Amino acid sequence: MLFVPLIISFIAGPLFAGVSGPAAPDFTLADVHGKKVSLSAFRGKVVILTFWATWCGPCVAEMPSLNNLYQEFNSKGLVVIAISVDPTEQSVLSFIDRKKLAFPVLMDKNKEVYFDSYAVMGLPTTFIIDKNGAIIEKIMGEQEWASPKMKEKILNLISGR
Amino acid sequence: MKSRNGPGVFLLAVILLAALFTGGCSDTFVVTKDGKSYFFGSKREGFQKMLCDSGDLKIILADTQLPSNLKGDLYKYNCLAAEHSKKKVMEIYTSMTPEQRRDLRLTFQKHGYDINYMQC
Repeated sequence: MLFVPLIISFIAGPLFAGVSGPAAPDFTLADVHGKKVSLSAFRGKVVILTFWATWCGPCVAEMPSLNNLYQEFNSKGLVVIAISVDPTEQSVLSFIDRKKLAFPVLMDKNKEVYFDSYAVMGLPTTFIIDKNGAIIEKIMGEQEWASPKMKEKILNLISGR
Repeated sequence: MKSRNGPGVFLLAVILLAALFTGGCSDTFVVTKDGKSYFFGSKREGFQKMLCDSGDLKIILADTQLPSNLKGDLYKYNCLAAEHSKKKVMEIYTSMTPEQRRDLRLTFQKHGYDINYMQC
């Protein structure tokens, strides 16, 4: 019985899209250029937090649509943060350059945020966090981020509906 | 001699490659040592030998600061045939506090393992 709330809020997250969940654990990580970035700095904005790696096929496949979504909605209040669990910056920097990713990419080489704070079990795993810092959805696997349905969801979150 | 299976073999190869690309790398909940990786909670013989028969999991858990009931459950659901359950192992993992997961990860690493990371 102890696991029921966790299953509801994390594993079956998408079934409860739009319902505020647990607070997203705060973290501070360096981006690929060494600049420190904290999740709490984006309070008041809708955050898509995705865990990925350059060796993960589904992660690589969904990055262009995530980049498109970010570029379309960033000025309206959407933040995308990608946390890479690659062991070095080199392959990540090369990927960012090739795909022209516009959002910040942070490095979690020791898997402190990935394993300890967010208990991620597969890649890609993405958390949608509302303006109050609550996790409202956990999505495991590749998504089409620039789909009309996803855009509508993000717009609703941004406008607080 | 011509192979009659050419198109079928090609199609199978394409399907396998597509499966590998779209989903083959997505599950990372594994323990790794010396290049060998097994899903945490696996029933595979290699996992049992590496972590259970060797006594390593018992040593690793004893070296953590986890509550004794949590250590017992993790050992039971990973190593005891009658109680074996990957689902329970995953539930325990998600129910642990960040500090407990950190403790478990660092202790696995201290003993030469990596946990929850698979590069494919």
